[in-house]
Amino acid sequence: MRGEMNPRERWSLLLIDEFPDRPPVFPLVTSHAANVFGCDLIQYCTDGKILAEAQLAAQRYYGHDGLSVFTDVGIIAEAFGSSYHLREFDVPILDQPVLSDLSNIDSLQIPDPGSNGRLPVYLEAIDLLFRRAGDVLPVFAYIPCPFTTAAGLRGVENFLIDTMMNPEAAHLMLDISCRAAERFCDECILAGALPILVDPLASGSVISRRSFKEFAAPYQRNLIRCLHRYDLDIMLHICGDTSNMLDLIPGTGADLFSFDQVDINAVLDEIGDRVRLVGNLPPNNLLASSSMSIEENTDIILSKGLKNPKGYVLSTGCEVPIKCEHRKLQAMINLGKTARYENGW
Amino acid sequence: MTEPRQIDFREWHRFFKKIPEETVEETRYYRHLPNAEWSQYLFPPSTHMVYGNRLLRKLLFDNSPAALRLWGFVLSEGERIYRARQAGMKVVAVMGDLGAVTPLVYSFPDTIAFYPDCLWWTPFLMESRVLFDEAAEYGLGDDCCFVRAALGAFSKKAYFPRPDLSIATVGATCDDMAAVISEAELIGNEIHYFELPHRNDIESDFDDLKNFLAEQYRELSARLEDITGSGFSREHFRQTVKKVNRLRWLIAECKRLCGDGEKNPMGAVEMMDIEFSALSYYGDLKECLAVLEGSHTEIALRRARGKGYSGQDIRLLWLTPPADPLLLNYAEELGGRIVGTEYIINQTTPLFNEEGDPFEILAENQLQASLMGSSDFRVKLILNELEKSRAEGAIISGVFGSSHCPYETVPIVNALRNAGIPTLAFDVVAPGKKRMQSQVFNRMEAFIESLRARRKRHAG
Repeated sequence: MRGEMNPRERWSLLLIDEFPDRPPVFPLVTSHAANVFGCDLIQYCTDGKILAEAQLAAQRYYGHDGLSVFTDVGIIAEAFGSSYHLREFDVPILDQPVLSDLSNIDSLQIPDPGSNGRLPVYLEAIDLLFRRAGDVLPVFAYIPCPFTTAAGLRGVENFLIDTMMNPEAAHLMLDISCRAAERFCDECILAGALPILVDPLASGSVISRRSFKEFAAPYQRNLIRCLHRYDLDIMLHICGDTSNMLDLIPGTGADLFSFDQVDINAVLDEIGDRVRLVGNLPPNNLLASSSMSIEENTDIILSKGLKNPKGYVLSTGCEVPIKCEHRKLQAMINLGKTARYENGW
Repeated sequence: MTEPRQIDFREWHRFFKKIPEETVEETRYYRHLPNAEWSQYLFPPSTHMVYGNRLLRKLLFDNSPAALRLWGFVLSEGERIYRARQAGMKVVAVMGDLGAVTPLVYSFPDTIAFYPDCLWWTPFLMESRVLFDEAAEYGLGDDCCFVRAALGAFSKKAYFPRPDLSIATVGATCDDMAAVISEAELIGNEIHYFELPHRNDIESDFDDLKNFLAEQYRELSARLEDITGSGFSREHFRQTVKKVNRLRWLIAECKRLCGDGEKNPMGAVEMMDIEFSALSYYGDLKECLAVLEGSHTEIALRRARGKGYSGQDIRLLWLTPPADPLLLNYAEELGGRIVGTEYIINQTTPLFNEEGDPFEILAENQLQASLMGSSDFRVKLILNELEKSRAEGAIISGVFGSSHCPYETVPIVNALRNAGIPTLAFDVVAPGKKRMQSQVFNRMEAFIESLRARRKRHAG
């Protein structure tokens, strides 16, 4: 259609404080792409070509505004040596953390993105997506933040205990996780993707505000500072309830904040003048078993998000469920595509 | 000083980490605006690549900090124009063989110009047909010059902000751009037309032509007064022209230094960036001047020390700017060295008489345009460049569908061959046509091989 912007154009304008024809519609379509493409999740998580083809298939099917390269939050921890259990019908889970005790912290080596774990899967997928569609579709690589990676090095419970009982060791793990994330980000950028930093375990649903302030935010900030050096616009995604730490988000330097179980009004009021917002249809609304009205809920979120002074992206609060009902996700996306800004050319 | 080399985006990404943070923070455009955190621009090609400029993954770049600054400045032009608008500046689009109008535009306070025609590089940089497909929606398809990308951009409203004023030439100007402008007007963009008379190259007609153009500059100045709310100031104009003269001098000097000496001190793609800065100064005259001073210093220093790229020794004249910058890289990879150019923007090269009547000196300048009259004029420009550059061969990168190319190419080739210069002429291939692109590469390779053989024969 004449004059219609493509996703690349929409995002480009949003990121320089301009109004695109409509807000980008970017539900976090990650492993659900495997469901659309018809492959199992082991293939999706271990083969860059399949991951890329699945992402392209899902984007063609739904027409959303971006491609998501993401398998699981353990991708860096696994490259350090933690073992993950791959499953056909669900995302990988931590099997054996590399640091069963703290005595071998010093032996950790920053992973080589070209050869360790499944990091090369990401790079292959990004490269393919960028070559196939990078002119019209931004490619986003979801990179686990240091807090989440450190939890994958030690096991979640052990790491949370370390933050209380052995904070020095926790900081050591966070520091090396940060350097690994930085190196991986570099390679993802060079392959053609813009990093999205994800920190699901730094959620208010898991840790306190104090822990977030001491163990999560400083490393998010460091990583974002490294990426800002290259003038990249960085989205930070934190799952669950982040209402008790909203005021700390701008301090991380994030340019966009993808939020989950928080009232959009609270986010708008607290940080909307400083950070672009991305959210937040509850993913469980998209399940067949949900009786929530997609149209009604999307409309409520959208009408509020559009007013955000720093810009807005319609999204889901977290990953689209693997078995989401296609019809429901399509309804959300279609509604997002009808939204318009009053301002513009 | 680092040893001059051409490096890829990966290497620049790594080197960039070594550039001091203060240097990055201090390198800004629109320096008169306080607290503009968006105005930094010293970033490596990978930054622009990740936002969709996919060709940057294939290009080779000079490894000097001056070249990094040049690239950062050039590639940030799109954002800069939007920021200018956001900061309350007036944005003027200048279209169709101009580049001679911009000194007048910049002489008004808080007013900048940009050149939509230059969007013809965007599909190549992005390796994309998006803007061409959009232009095709309006009937401008593959039988129109690559400048049709500008129409795609007008339609999409995502590549530059709505201009406060769009100036466009009519008359003795590029037919394809004229078609683009007409369509842009039809879809709701108000255009201030500026008529270029045919330069018949008869000396006695020169004054009439000059007066005709000067009158139009006066009208345009009045229009700019309305748009900006500021009166035309001779003093501001004089100051602007002074800066423009410095910029043009720097460009000429960079070109001269790149043609002289044993080794090539700067890449042809960087040199094309430098030459095209003369059109609209990439949206910030003052900063553009600073960027070019840096490039000139680097080139002069390398030249003085006899430094340059190794393995580039076949002296080439390049005619008509290649829409695909990769071609310049490729010529260099094959051992070519671009020692002279005629990029059909001759109107941006002469120095202004700083004390003359403003509108008359602009008119005189306009009359030097490459494409306002007979092909003979351009042939003379080319032969002049040939003499200066001592080129061994010439490459003409034409544009399929461009109205002037088919008329000019034969007389240019004939003139060069008569002067004993082997010439290769081809049409630049649109993005995505890999097989056709490889044919062009083959022809370039064979051409440079034959020049090398010819040199041996002559030496023998």
